[in-house]
Amino acid sequence: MPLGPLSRRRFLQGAAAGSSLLVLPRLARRAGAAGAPAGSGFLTADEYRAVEALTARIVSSDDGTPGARECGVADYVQGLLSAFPGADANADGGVSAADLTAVALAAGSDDAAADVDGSGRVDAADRAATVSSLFGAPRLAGPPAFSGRPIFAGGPFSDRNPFPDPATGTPSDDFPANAFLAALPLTRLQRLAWTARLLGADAVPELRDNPLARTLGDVDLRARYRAGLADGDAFSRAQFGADYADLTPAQQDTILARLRSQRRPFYLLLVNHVIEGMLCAPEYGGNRQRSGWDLIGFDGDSQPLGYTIYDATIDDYRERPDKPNSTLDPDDPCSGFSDEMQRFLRVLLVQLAQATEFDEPFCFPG
Amino acid sequence: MPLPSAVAGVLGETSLERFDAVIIGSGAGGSAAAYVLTSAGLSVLVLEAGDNNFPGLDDPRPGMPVPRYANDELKGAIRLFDRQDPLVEPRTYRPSDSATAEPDADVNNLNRTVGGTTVHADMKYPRFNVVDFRLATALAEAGRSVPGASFLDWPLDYDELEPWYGEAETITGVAGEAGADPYASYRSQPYPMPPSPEMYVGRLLSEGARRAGYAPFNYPAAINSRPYPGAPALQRPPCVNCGFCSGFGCPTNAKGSAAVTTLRAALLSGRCQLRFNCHVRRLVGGNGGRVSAVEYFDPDGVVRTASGDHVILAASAMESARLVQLSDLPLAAGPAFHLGRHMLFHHQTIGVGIFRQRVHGERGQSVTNGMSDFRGVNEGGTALHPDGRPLGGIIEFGTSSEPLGNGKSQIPALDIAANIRSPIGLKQLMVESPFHAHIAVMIMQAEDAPRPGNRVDLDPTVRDVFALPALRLTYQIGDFERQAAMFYKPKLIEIARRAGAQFGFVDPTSGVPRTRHVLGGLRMGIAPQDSVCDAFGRLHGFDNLYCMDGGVMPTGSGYNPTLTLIALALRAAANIADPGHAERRLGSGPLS
Repeated sequence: MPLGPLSRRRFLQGAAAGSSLLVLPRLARRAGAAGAPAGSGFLTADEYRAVEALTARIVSSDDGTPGARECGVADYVQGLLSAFPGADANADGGVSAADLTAVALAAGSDDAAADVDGSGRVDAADRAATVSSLFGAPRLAGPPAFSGRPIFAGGPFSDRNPFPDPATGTPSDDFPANAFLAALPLTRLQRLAWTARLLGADAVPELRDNPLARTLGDVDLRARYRAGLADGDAFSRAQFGADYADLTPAQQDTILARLRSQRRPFYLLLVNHVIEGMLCAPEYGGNRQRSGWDLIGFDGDSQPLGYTIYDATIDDYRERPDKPNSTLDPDDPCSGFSDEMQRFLRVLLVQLAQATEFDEPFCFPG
Repeated sequence: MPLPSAVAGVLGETSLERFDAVIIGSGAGGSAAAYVLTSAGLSVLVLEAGDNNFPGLDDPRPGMPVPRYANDELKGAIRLFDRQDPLVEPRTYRPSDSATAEPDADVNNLNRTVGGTTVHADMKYPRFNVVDFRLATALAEAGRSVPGASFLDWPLDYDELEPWYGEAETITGVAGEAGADPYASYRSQPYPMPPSPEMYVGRLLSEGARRAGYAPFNYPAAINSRPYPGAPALQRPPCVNCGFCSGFGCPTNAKGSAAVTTLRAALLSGRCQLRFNCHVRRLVGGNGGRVSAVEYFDPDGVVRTASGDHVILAASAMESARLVQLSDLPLAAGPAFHLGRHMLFHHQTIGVGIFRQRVHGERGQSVTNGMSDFRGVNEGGTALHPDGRPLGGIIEFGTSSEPLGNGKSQIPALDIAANIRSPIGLKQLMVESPFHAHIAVMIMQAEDAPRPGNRVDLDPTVRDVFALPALRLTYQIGDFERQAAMFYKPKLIEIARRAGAQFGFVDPTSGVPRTRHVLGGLRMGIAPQDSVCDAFGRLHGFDNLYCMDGGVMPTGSGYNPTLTLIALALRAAANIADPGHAERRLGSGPLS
């Protein structure tokens, strides 16, 4: 007797069996809702505002559709920069001994006993030192609100799509629990790599003979952001007398162009994070209420439903009429690109890449 | 023997302490070997460098395991969840000995995970041709010399491997249509499942190919198009065509990866122990032709030792060659010279069509159609094509299914837009999406000639996280590959035109190999002066050391290589289990 697709019950059994491996970050349950309050992580409130303002000029909402700001790219960046390792590495909503271990490791200590200040015991002073090293002195006043997001979200399904009904080949009304909310634990090697990504190569002695730990664009992210944002504000004050976030959009575009040419690695980092923050699963903090996916006409994750569904009664597949797998979309106008995009493609492809533009493009079938 | 300190790093029969075989790597080859050996009553230890993302893989209940994989592009493709992380394991690349090797984030990096790269591949499983097993002879007979190349006939022929191809197709559940590809070589049994549903882009390009006079077909793939039958614990559901296929672990186990087929069967046998997050650093011994032990770093980085009567390298072609180089084994002159050489990656030529309609590549199995007309063989694949056409490769008809990675690939275009004062910005590229929603691609997996200078060795300065010398790759193509690319390039563009594209071009390829088809380095042959291994993957001069991954292939053909890799591993492992009788098939049905 062949089994159909994973049933909800079997999925839940499996999830329970694997649950000891999973860490459920309490605050990540807010995924998809409005973003974390500004400043509740590595980025200060001012830095968070600067990231919002910068990314909003890389993908703007000038045309009335969502841009980087509306998609929550700043939340995405905050979630990444505030993720492991650092305060609340185990995502329990506070700073614990496990977090101190991460900091001790990052500080190059072989002894991960989390005695950060070397007093001989693990105590409140170590906790304060940890918070200070990660958030700066101003945050010592109160408990740090956690806004870190998972480095790796769990699987196999979110709760955005139902299970298929194998008896009919159609969607059921049974939805899985959202496993994307579970932050997967990091292995030792993942921990080392992500320590370098967030805190830099100096924090990981094991990478001393790997030049990539210093040259790749996605290592030392916290320092890169802190320095890049400071540069943006310095350029802004020198040229227009105010911080970047307080400039007019036209002035901001001028400064952004300067960053593009004079602080290129930081500019490229921002562009990469705009794309990630607009198109990631919402559980990572960006793509707020799937605004980025909707903007580009992308369905996002489609499991467990999928698109073409096996029907046991006919021993064959049924396509979803609204989202066909094998045929043209029923509502596709086949109208091609805007005039300005066509002009751009002619330069990019025909002039620069020796592409051929064909005389009579058509839309199969037809 | 001490177990790794982290209990979570062990699956299967944890009480086992001595093993008939130690297998290094749980990918396509290593898991196939584990399956055959445990089926024959032998006990095996599988050491896997990566993490296990199949909780419950050794749980015999139906419906298990539940993967930690998801339709999540950020996790894998961008954040390297289970990929080879260049911060952990850097590699360096240089085109030739005269160039300086540079560290690069991706030198044909494969995955580090239980199940290996089969977990992420889109499981395109065609067979090689009859002529591929004697290509050196065929080229010589045709008077087609390739200067600088080191072609070598395989030490076995297609007839010998054919039953094992059938076994490999049955075990992994290949969906396909016998006879659909006129260039495919003979087969003694039908495919286990009918073809999977076609993607629109596959039908689109197939129509263009037909109008141009070619013979497209449904691409064989080890993805369930029907419920996979067999023992309850090994049943797997039909694919729902979620679209996150190539480059993604399958959330439902519809993909016939090594993890959920051969490795799961081995783990459920009671004779297999899997230790994951365990990175082998060297083989020990070798005197008298016997490797005595394997040293590895456990999940906490502590050095441990394991031993077994047989040691099987299955770490992927590049890493298996590196591992032998990291070990101080007494190799004879021939194998010592050939070790790490004749690396084969396929030379990809990528034809592109930009269409006015959206081709919705986010639905379906990434590639569902293709054609073999450019492979360069006759019908049936028994000889080179009589018209003397170059040896190209199978064409995969695909598109972009990854908006995030594709968005990033457009960043250079932003500079061009700025330079020419075009109003096009990132948002308009993402929304109008010419290079994602409107793109169709034809990837030719062309044969690359073996060359002794294309090789893996140890980098003199760069070291990995274990302080081991990094892998250094030296590789470049020559006229053989360039001529094939030039010959087929206009034909690819013509297919795009016939399919209705607005623009057609061939994507310029980068110098650093990133094709993911990683073969050679421990090539097999009859004579030790020509090769490293024999026809069963046993290293010349050794009694108990084998290679059972893509490293053994002397030539790479022009087809996706994994099914052939599995068939070779099944056959080689059967030879260990029952020496001299490896032609006997397992023949007991799908993983029963």
